[in-house]
Formats: sequence, C-alpha cells, structure tokens
Amino acid sequence: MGIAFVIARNTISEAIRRKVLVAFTIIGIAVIALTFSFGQFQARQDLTIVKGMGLGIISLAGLLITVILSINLIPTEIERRTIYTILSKPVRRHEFLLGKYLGALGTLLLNIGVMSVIFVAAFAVKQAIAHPDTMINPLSLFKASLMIYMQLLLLTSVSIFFSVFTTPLVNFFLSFGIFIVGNMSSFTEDLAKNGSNPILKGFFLAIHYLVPNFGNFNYVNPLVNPEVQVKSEALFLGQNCVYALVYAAILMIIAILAFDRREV
Amino acid sequence: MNSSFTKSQRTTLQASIAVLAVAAIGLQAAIDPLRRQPAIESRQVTNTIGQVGNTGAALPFEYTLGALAGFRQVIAGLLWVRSDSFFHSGNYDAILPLIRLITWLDPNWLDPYATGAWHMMYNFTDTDQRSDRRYLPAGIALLKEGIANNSGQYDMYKELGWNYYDKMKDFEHATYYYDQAMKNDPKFDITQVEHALAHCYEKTGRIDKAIETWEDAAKRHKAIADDPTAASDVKARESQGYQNAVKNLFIDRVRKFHRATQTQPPVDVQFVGKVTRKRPLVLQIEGTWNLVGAVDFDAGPFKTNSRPDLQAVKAVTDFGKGITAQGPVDGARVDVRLQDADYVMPQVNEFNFDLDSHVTIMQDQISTRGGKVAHAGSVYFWHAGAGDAMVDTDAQHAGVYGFATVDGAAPGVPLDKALAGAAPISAEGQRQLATLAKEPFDKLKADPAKIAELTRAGYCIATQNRTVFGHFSKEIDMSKDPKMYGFYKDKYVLIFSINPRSAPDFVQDRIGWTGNGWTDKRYLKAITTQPTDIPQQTDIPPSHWIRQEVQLTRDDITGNGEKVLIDDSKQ
Repeated sequence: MGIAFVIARNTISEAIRRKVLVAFTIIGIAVIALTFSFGQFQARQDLTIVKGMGLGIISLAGLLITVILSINLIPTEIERRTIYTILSKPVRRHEFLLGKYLGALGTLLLNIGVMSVIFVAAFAVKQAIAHPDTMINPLSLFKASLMIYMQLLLLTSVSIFFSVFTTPLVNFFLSFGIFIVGNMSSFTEDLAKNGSNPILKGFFLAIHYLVPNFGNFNYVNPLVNPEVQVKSEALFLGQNCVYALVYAAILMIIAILAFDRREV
Repeated sequence: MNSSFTKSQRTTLQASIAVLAVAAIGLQAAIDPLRRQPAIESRQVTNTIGQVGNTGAALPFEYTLGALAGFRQVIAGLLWVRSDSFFHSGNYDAILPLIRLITWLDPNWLDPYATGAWHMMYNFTDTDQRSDRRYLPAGIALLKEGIANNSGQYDMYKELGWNYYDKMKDFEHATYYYDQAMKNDPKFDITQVEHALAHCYEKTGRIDKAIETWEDAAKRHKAIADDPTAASDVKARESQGYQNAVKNLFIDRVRKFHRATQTQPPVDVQFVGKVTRKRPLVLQIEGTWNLVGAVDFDAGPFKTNSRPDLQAVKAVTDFGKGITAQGPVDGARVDVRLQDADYVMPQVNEFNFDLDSHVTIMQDQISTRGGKVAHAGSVYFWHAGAGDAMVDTDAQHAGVYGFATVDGAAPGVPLDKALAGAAPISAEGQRQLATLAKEPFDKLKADPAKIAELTRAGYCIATQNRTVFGHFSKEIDMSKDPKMYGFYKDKYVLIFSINPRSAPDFVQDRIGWTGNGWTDKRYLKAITTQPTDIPQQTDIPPSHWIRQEVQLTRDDITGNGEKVLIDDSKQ
C-alpha cells in the first residue's frame, strides 16, 4: 500500500501542475466571491441566495474537476507509454490503479477544501456584518461540503472504472450520463413504486439500486433554510458516507480485476 | 497476460463485490426514507418529476436540471424578483404561474406562499375593489400546501388562520389553524398567534376560552420579558405584548359580566331590503334596519391606561354599570352577495390557479348609517338648514341625536320653551341636559345664560317618540367587469346578511357576541357551522344572523330598463 500512496502523491502534484484544474478552482472561488455582491440585488434574504449559489458553484466546479481529472488519469499514462516504466518496477497493477484513485481523491480534497474554506470564511464575515441577528453556525456549511466530496469520491470511482474499458471521450459522456441518472434517484424510486407495468417497475427498481445514487448527497436545502428540522441528520450523513465508500469499493475492485487482465 | 492475483485472491475479490453490492443495496434502502423528508428533498420537485400517468412531469426539464445542480433556491430567488416587478406594474395574472414555480423549486421558502395567497385573496378585484372570490379556494389550497411542506413552523398556519379570520369571516377554521400553529411550533409568535386565537374565541362566543387564552398569553409574554438573557428589543416587544394581553383580558372580563344581562330584551331589527335594477348589470341595493348599540359605556373604576398587572386585572370585581346609554349607532355593515344559485365554494386539495370562468360571485359590504331616536321628554338636536344634523361627541355619548328637516317636522320644542313648561322633561332628558351643560339639572334650571346657550346651539326637548332606522345604500355596477361577472347561468341568489360575530364591539355590547340580543320576525336565522375538513369544535354556540335570500333570474340582472326586483317595505 506504501507504493499506492507514493503514486497518489505523484498524481496530486501532477494534477496541481495542470493549469486547467487550477483554473477551475480559481474560477469557482471568483464566482463564489461574486455571489456575495449578487445577494444585495435579490428580493430574498441575501444569505439564502449566497448559501445556495456558493454551495452550487462548489458542486459544479468539483464536478468538472472530477470528470476532467479522472477520465485522463489512466489513458494518459497508456498514451505516453509511461505506464510501462511504472509497471516494470515492482509496482503491481492494483497498486497503480489504487494510487491513481487516491491521488484523484487527494486532488479533489484540496480543491473542494480550498473552495469550501474560502466560502465558509466569507460567509461568516458577511453574516456577522450584515445579519448579526440571524446568525447560524457557519461551520455547519461544511456538512454540504462533505456531502459534495463524498458524491465526487463516488463519481471519481465511476470515471476510473470506465477509464479501464473505454476512451476518454466515451468515458466523459458515460460518467456524465451516470451522474445525471444517479441524481434522479427520487424519480427512479417513484417510477419503481408507482408504475403500473411490472416489467417497467422491475427495470426502474434495478436502476434505482444498481446505478450509484448521486442524489443522496444533495444536502443544500437544510443549510439554505436552517429553520427546517432534519430528522436523524447524523445517521443520514453517516449512511451516505458509508454508501459512497462501499459503492466506490465495488467499482474499484471490478476495475482492478479488469485492469489486471488488460493488455496495455 | 499474467495476473498479479492468485486464483483464490480473485475469488475473494469477486465474493467481496457481491457482499459489498448487498451492503450498498441495503444502505440505499435505509437512506431512501431519510432522503425523502421535506427538509432535505423538495417534495414538490420530486412529486412533479416523479408523477406518472396523466399528469406527467409538470416542471420543465431545464428547471429540473437547475434544481438538480443545486441552484433551485437561486432560480426561485430570480423568479421572485420577476414576480415582484409584475406586482408593481399591476400585472397580477402573471404572478400566479411564477408563484407556482417558486413554491415547487423552494417549498421551504414561506414568503411566496404568504404573498401568493395574499394576491389571490385580496388583490384580484373588480373596478370598484371588490374581491374576485373565485380565487379564494386556490389561495387556501396554496397555504395548505405551505403547511404540508413546513409543518413544523407556525407561519403558514398563522397565515391561513388570518385569511379565514379576516377575508372569509370563518372563525371556526381560523381557530383551528391558530391552535395548530401553537401546537406544531413551540417558537410561535405570541402576539401574532395566541392573541389572534383569543380573538377567534371571542368571535365564536367562547368567552371563557378567550379569557383563559389572554391569561396564558400574558404569562408567556412576561416569562420572556423577565428573562435576563433576552435581548433588549425582545424584552420591549414582549412587555408591550404583555400590556396588550392584560388589557384585552380586562375588556373581556367586563364584556362577559355585562353581556350576560344587558343583551336582553332582544332588539327588534325589522330588516327591510330593496333591490332595484337601474340598468343592465347595475343594481341599487338599499334598505333600513334598527341598528342599536351602546352609545356610552361605563367599565368601572379600574383603568388600564397605566401599566396594569395581570393579577390586578384578575382581581377586579367592580365592572361599572356597562351600557349607560344605548340607541341607534353607525358603522355595522350589511353583507350583500350575489352568486350562482347552485354555487358551493369548492374544497380544493391542490393549488391550481385556473379559474372556472363560468362562475359568478359578487360580494360587497354596505355601511349602515343615520339611525336616530328621540323619546318623549328627552333631548334632541335640531338642524333647521339643509343636509343632515351633526352632533358633537359629548352629545353622542349622552344619547342625543340630531334631526333635520329631511327627517320631517321637528319632533319637539326648543329647550327654553320646554323649561318654561311647554314640554315635560323625562329623567333621561334631565340626565342628558346635565351632561351637555356640565352641571346638575337643578343648577341648569336656574341658569338662564346656559339655557340660552344650549337653545341657540339647537338643543330641544321631544314631545313625541320618533325613530329613524339606520339606512344602507349602494349602487353596484358589475357592467365594468364583464370577465368577472359573466352571468352564464339562468338562476341566481342574492343574499343580505348581517353576521353578529363581525359586528363592532359597541353593537355587540347590546346584541351579544352571537346575536342573542336581537330578533327579526322574518329574517332571524340561527346558524351552526360545522366544517367537515377539520375536527369538530362542539363548544361553539350557534350564532343568530339576520339573513334574507332572494331568488333572481339572469334576466332580472341583465335586462334593460329600471325594475324593482325586491322591495320588502311593501310586505
């Protein structure tokens, strides 16, 4: 596993050197900063718009960073033939794949972390200055950041899974497609429950349980509307984290088994 | 290609995939019910995009995508700004679809529900500012949706309670929703909710419950105001709330004491209504009735002007004399409603701003004014010139009414002549003169200067009884709003009604909260309202309305030429 961490560290430093990822992070931070001025023009309470937009931008920027980073991790190494050099060392294939995955997670943690910290700090300052009478604990916004990160952890495993079988372009569309379908978990659940055709019901049930449910991780509403009461919050967040880790493990194991047999 | 795994390692990995897959399915099954709670997932969005069958997905795909991207509150905010601009430009029709979208996108945002309902209940009007009552069911449905999505907060219950109280005059429903506001949200606003609940109890004649509620509200206010950790503005607000609750408690105790006896014998209302069609869709509605109330009231020595204490108010036993002068008063309103003969207000379960354009409902309120009385031997004011006679406040409180030439011949003689022996002065007249002269009657008799002053001012003594009933009159022109008043059906009903629960306090002092103190041999109706959509409130006494229903045809309303449709005075 030590080798996997070495590969992860190299992956992170490579990713930081990639300007496009840094650019996304900077753009994300800039747009978040912009939302603080948008708030003044809205009829609705400033902070609600700021929270909603800020978390949405972190989610969107994180999504773009994840997909662009993950779809290229393995194919780039194969294209440049650097994978031969790595695998000729005593680096086993599964260590290589795991290292790349952990490296992607580390990069994501850095990007999401930086955006979240800046956002929460700016929000705390704005709240203290403009709305001292309706203050919420700004650290509670990190719950949404955690859910965004776990969502993207799962998406990263999907992209790396597909990268073992497909080209980056196909992987891009597949990953986005799975992400969109996975966000419709309520839709598929409703169709599975309420449909009249048993074959279709079975089909949507399969979709609901087999496709990774990215919709689980949308935890923006209780933070934007703090007056709403969430039942069993800790259980909900904990279950989501475990779900992401379990599902990512499934995809990574399948990817490892497939990559192990693959001709590079 | 050689694998880096042994066969048993591969088998183990494959088995672990199966185990993890089962775990993932189990976790998803556990997450689903928690995720579907309204606090986390917009019920409207999921209901909309998850609908199957005829209705299908009602929310456009791009909004769904925006919602999925976590921007739904932002989109809702932008739409709200747009709807605000429509409001300021007077384009109310454009607001409702936006309200629908906003409440779908952000169902935990309370303002759109409250404002949307306000638009429907109050702002859709005809040219003369009469509400389009076809929108009321939709307004109620919207607020009920707000309650369903925000059941742990008092605000939506309060809004619905207020709309039932103020717009619909349905105090049973209002009571229920204010009560629910208190039960569902321990952080309810005492003034907005509990005070309103106390008023609902008053309106429905449950005075003991009203008193209990005022007491409870006062205690809650005091607890917060005395809390050393409360902010200074909160303390100030709660102190004010405490004063208001204690004052209202005192008022209710006084009213409970006096209305037990002073509402009898019942006043004979003698309601008379007349409806004349002036031209197509224009009706002149008028009539008279004996509107009587307390002209002067004595609540006893206890004063609530200073800062009364709850215990002090509860200890009061001297409630004064109550009504010290009664007679015709101004201000109570007659409700006039013209509607399709078969119209029943629908129970709408889902908010929908589509109107049934073939329904016709017109409702208005007409003030009653001009009632006056002079008893033989009492004082009246005489205005010899043109127009109505106006009396000052002191005279009003003394029960002195003004008569003028429009009311016919003078019913008596000038004061100086009466005092010279031309007319006897009753005990009531002596009391009135003492009030006007601000000196005892015996002293006044020996004060020629004062007598001359009062005579010059117009005061006289009646030699006969004369009563003029209060009069209401209004021209209702429905021709200016053909979209609202289509008159598609053949048969209509016009309803005159006077609800004792909505009467002003000075009238209720004489007739009671529920109208047990008035009567009318033709139009008195005891009404017991038991709504079917909320738990029954079995402790509400029946209210005694004055209510007259008249059947009309479309031709009666839309025909040409002037025609008297109803004239009670001839019966």
